[in-house]
Amino acid sequence: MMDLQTSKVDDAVPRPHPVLILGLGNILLRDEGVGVRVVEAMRDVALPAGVELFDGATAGLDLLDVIADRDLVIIVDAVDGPVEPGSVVRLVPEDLAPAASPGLSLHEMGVFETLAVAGQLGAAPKDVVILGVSPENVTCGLDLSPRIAGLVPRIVERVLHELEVKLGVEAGTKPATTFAGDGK
Amino acid sequence: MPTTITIDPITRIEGHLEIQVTVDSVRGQMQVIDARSTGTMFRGFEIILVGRDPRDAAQYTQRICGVCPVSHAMASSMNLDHAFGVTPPDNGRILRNLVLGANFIQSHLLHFYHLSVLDYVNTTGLLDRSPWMPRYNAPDMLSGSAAADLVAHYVTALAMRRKAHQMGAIFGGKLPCTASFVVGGCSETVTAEKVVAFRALLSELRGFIDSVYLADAGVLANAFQNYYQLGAGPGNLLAFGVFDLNNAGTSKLFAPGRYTNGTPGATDPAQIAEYVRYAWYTPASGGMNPAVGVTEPDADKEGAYTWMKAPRYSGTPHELGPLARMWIANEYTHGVSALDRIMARAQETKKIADAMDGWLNELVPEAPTYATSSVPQQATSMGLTEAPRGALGHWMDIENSVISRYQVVTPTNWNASPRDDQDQVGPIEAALVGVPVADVNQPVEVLRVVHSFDPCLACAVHMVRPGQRSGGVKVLIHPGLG
Repeated sequence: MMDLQTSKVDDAVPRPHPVLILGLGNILLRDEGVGVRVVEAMRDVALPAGVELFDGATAGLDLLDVIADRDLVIIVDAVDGPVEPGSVVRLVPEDLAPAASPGLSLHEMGVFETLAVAGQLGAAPKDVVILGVSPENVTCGLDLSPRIAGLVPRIVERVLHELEVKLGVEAGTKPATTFAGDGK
Repeated sequence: MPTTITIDPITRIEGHLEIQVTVDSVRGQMQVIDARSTGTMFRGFEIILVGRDPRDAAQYTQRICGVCPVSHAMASSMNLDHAFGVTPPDNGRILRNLVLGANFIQSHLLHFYHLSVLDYVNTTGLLDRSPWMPRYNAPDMLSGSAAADLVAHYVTALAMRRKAHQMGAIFGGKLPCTASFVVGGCSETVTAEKVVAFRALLSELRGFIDSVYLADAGVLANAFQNYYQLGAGPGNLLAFGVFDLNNAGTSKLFAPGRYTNGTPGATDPAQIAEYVRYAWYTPASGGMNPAVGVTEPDADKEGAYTWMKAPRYSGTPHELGPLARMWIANEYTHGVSALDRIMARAQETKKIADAMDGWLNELVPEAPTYATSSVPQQATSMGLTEAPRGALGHWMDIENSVISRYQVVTPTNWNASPRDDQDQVGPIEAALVGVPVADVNQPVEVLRVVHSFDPCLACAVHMVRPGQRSGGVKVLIHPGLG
C-alpha cells in the first residue's frame, strides 16, 4: 500500500487545508449544479481556519489530489433517490453502491470512484460526509429551480452545522478562508 | 501462420481508434508484419461551419477536441487574421502564445502521465480497480518503488495539469476552451497582477517539469532502451511552426520545416493533398489540397477501413509532433522511434515553459491586446500552427460574409492515416511493422508504439454515425487471416 505523504514530490504541491467543502454538479443543468451553487453562496461566509471551499464541477479523477489526505470532506451534490424534490439527505460513502459495470474510460469516474482510488493509494480522507439534495429540475439552464434556490441558505446552514459538530468550533466567527478552485 | 489482432478501442488516447495488426513469426520471433489504423467516429465539424459567421470559427473549431482546443483557437484566429487582413499587436500575439503554451504543458503532462506511462508500469497493488483494470501486463514492466513513484507522480500530475489550465485561464478567460481568442488578437487585458499570478503558476510548473517529468522520462529511457529501436515509421518529419516571436510571423519558437527522405526542406502548404481511397468518403472528396477540400461521407464504400483521410506532402507520408518540431529546430536529433517521441516531448515541454517566462517580460500592461477589423465580403485564407500533437492547418473561404468552406487537417490525420491512393501506409501503420509481440493476448508492445504518437482522434475525424460504436474492448484472434 503506497503512501502519497512520503512521495518525493510532496514539496511540489502545498499541503491541503485539513477540511474541504466540495461542491459538485453541472451548472448547465439547473438543480444538478446545486453543489456548486452552495459553495458559491459560502464564499462570503466566515469559515473557521483550515477550511477550504472547492468548486469541483463535474470532475472525477481530477479531484484525486483535491480530496487526498484531508481530515474531513463535506460534499454537496444533487442525488437521485426515492425522496421528494427539495429533500436534503445526509450520506456517507458506504451508502453509495459502487458502479455496477466496470468503467472503460476515465470520463466515467465520479468523485465516489475517486474516493475509492484514494483509499487504495493510502490517501483517503479520514472522514467524508455527503449532503445530497434531491433536485426538482435538471433541464438545461443556469438558474436553480425556485424551490432549490430557496433551499440554498438552509443547505449552507447545514454545512456549517456539520463543521460545528465535527470540529467543535462555532462557524461564522473567524475571517473567511480563500476560495479555491475558480482559477483566479 | 499469420494471426490478426484487433484492439478496439485503443484506450488511453483521445478519441476513437481501432488498430489491427497481423503478426507472424519472422526469424523465429512473433512480429507485426502489417497494420491498419482506423478512426471509428465521424462528426462533421467542417460541414457545421458552413454558413456561420467567420468570427465564431474559433468557438466552433475548439469543440473538435477538449485536450487541444487552444490550438484550434489559434489556427482559427490566424485564419481570420489572414482573411480580415489584420495583424495582432505584440500584446495580443504574446497572450495567444501564453494561453497556447499553457495548454501545451497540460497536454504533454496528460500524455506522459495519464495516457502513456502506465504501459510501462505494473500497477498491481497501486491502481487495482476499474478503469485501470482489466489491463495488459508484461514481465518487463517497472515494479516496486519505481512503479510506486510513477503512480505518485501520476497523481501529482493531475494537480499540475489543473495549475497549467488555471494559469492559461488568466489570459484565456477559461480553459480548456478559451473565450478570449478573437480576430486581431486576444480580448483579455494585461495587468501587472495577472502577470505576477501567471508567473507564480509557471514557476511551479517549471519546477515540476525540470525535477519530475524530465527525470521520469529518463527513468523510462533507462529501463526500456529497446524502444529506441522500435516504432520508427517512415522517418519523414513535418512542422508548420508555432509561437510567433514577431508580428510578421517570420520568427517562431519552433520554425516550420520538414525532412523528407533524409533531406531538409521548406514547407509549402500547396504540396499537401488528402487521399481517400481507403477512407469512407466519395472519390470526389479525394486527392485535393485542403484549400479546395470536400468532405462527402460514404460509409459503405468498398475497400475503405477508416473515417480518416490520408494527408500526404508531395505524395509522401510524414510524421508530425514534438519529435518533428524538435528535430527541425535541431534540438533533438537522437533518432526516430517510440522512445524518441517520448523524450522529445518532454524536452519540448521544458523549452516552451522556459520561453513563456521570457514572453511574460515582453507584455506591456494597459497596451492594446487586439486590432480591430471588419468581416470581409469575400476571402480565401489559412491558419497554420501546431497543436501539441503536431502541425495543424485550417483553410477557409468566405462568401457574402459567411463561411462557405472550412477544412481542418490535424496532426493525428497525418500520423494515424490509412494507406493513400498509392497504397503507402500511414506513419503509425508503418511504425508498427517489425514490432515484436511476445503475447498475442496482451500486445502491450503495439500499445506502446501507438501511444508514442499521442493520438487524438477527435481531431482526426469529425463526424459520428449512430450504430458504429463498438462496445467493450476486444482483443480478437483470427488465425489464418493475413
